[in-house]
Amino acid sequence: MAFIIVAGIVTHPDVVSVSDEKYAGMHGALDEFTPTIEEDMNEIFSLTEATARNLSGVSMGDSSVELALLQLRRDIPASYDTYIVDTNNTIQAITGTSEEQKSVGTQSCANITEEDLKSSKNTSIVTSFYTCNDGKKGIIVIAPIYEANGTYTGTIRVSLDTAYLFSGAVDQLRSDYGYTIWSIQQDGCLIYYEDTELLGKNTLNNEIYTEESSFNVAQLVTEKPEGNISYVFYNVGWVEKGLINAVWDTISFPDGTEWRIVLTDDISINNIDIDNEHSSSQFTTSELRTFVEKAYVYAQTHTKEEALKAFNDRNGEFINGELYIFAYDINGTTLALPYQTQLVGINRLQAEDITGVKFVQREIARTEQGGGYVYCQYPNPAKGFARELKFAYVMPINNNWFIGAGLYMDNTSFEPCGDMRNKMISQVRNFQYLSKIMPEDELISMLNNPNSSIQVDGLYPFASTYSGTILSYVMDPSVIGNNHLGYVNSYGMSIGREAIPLAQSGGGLIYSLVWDPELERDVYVLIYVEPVTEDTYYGSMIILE
Amino acid sequence: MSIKYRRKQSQREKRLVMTMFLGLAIMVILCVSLFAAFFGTEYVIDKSLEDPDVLLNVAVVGDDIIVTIYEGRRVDELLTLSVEIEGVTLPHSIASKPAPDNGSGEVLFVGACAGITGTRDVAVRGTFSNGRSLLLKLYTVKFT
Repeated sequence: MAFIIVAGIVTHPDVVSVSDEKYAGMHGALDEFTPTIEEDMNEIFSLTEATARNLSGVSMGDSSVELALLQLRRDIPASYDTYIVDTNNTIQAITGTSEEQKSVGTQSCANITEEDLKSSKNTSIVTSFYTCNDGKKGIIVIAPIYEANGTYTGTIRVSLDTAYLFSGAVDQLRSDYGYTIWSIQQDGCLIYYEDTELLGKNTLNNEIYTEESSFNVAQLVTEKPEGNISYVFYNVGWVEKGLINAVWDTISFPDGTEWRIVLTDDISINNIDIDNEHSSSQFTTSELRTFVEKAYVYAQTHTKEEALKAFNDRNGEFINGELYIFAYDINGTTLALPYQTQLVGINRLQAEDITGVKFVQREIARTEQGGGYVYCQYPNPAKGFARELKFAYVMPINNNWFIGAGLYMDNTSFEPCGDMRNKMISQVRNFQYLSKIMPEDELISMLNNPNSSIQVDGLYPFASTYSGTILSYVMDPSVIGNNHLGYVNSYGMSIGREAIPLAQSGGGLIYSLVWDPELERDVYVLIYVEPVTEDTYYGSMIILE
Repeated sequence: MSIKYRRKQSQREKRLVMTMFLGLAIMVILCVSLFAAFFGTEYVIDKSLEDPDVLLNVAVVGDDIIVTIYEGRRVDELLTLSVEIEGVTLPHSIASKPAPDNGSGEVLFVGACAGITGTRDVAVRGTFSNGRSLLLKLYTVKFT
């Protein structure tokens, strides 16, 4: 978004500082925010270094290596993977699925040498933002491993999703104060914004900055460790330009790395002239489905080119109030998005909502089963860009591409759940760790015991086989032993059919509606699943309402 | 000598003509086949785009398969629908259902994919009032 933010800056000769009144409030909120990220990162440094020390002198074939990596991954919910790299930059051990195990013996995407580590002011370092071949984007915390005699044997590395790292705290900031955050490295590379698709873009390299009349806010932010400014650009929803106030500060890590943390008020721009197409929802979910089915018939009776042209036409028949048709290919590349045509041709497979749900991946998974409803949280322009539950209906045109449309569910928004999400991820990863040190039936009985030490308040863990047999389900033990592939909620969504392929691909987050036996109704939940053994996956969920 | 020569020439000519004829025939067959493979298929696809026999979608909902019929020039002639799942033998009572009375609408195959996992092809066939059976849809479904 910083890219868009800065790309959206328009000539504004009278760039001014933030007013005193606003500055005090924004600076106070920033002062409260920055320590949360600083503390989280320092803890990650500390955990990584401690693991590196524990692995000193341990052979790569030793079972304690796998356990140490699993523990570290469990303790850092924002991590993708934890792995060990030797002195030749070759991966020696890694957590994750059998697919990820194939990277053992290959070169790591970050080539950090002993000299790099020695030249650092700290034992461990954090890399610049990177994008790996598998599409994972983020940073890597790296700590050296030494033998007892001081010989350097390699590094332990934690790849981190910066969206996960920031999003919980940003969600809280947004909820408490109505502000949001973007963050850049000293070189201008965007490491966090709510629109995660823009992460990794360099805010200093865009051709628009060559225009003399443009004021380069990103340049100012990279040059000065702290400051404030008011400028004109697009708001979070990329709907309208307005005056944005920004206050920034710097986080410095022990290795000398600095991140600028920029707090802005662009989620609360007043005077936005919201047109009818962004007014509150006037449709039902049934009308949403009918709208998509009309587009389905059109796409099936016209050529792909004709259909996409019609779907991208803002004045065409496939725009109706807030409803519009979007289209993606099965790999996540945007084919039609009438209000964000700049994203056509862009791959959005890794796009996440504020909670970390990869919504395009969820839509693809749904279309691979013939289509249906999918949820995500998305800024609603009609509600000052407050994140609300967005309900999409998707249909495959064939096995290569699909279409869909979405609408906001009125009055369905959730409290920030970043902390609980992290606890949920850690809980599931703990199951993964425990499965390596105890028999599975013992672990299952612990899961089924509501008083066991692995239970966490507010979390509802479960376990299932890949064929759908429920092994554990704390929320409703009466279903244990049943096959849950056939269980569907009121919108025809089967958690089992959605969760199994997600777990098999390495795990992740999904929203759903599940039956709460106590409340005797469906409740909105956030679910996290990961593969645990060859035949089973484990998960946990939190109730969002 | 000359007769012999002529006879010899004639046999060679015959062989040559035969070879050329056979070569030409093979070429023609190949061209026709290729033309049919490319243009014929495209023609069929284009034809179905313009005016499909029966336009439908197939979706998995829990243990059930739902086939939704939208339109098509022969929806009124459709008598029954049946689903086939790769690697699965479904009882006739589950796999075959009458078509909707009005032509378009939903047809529910209850329990058709109970316990089915993995990725499999799903075919939907229709039987029409003239007794003919046609493949209406083939879709690769990721059941789990």
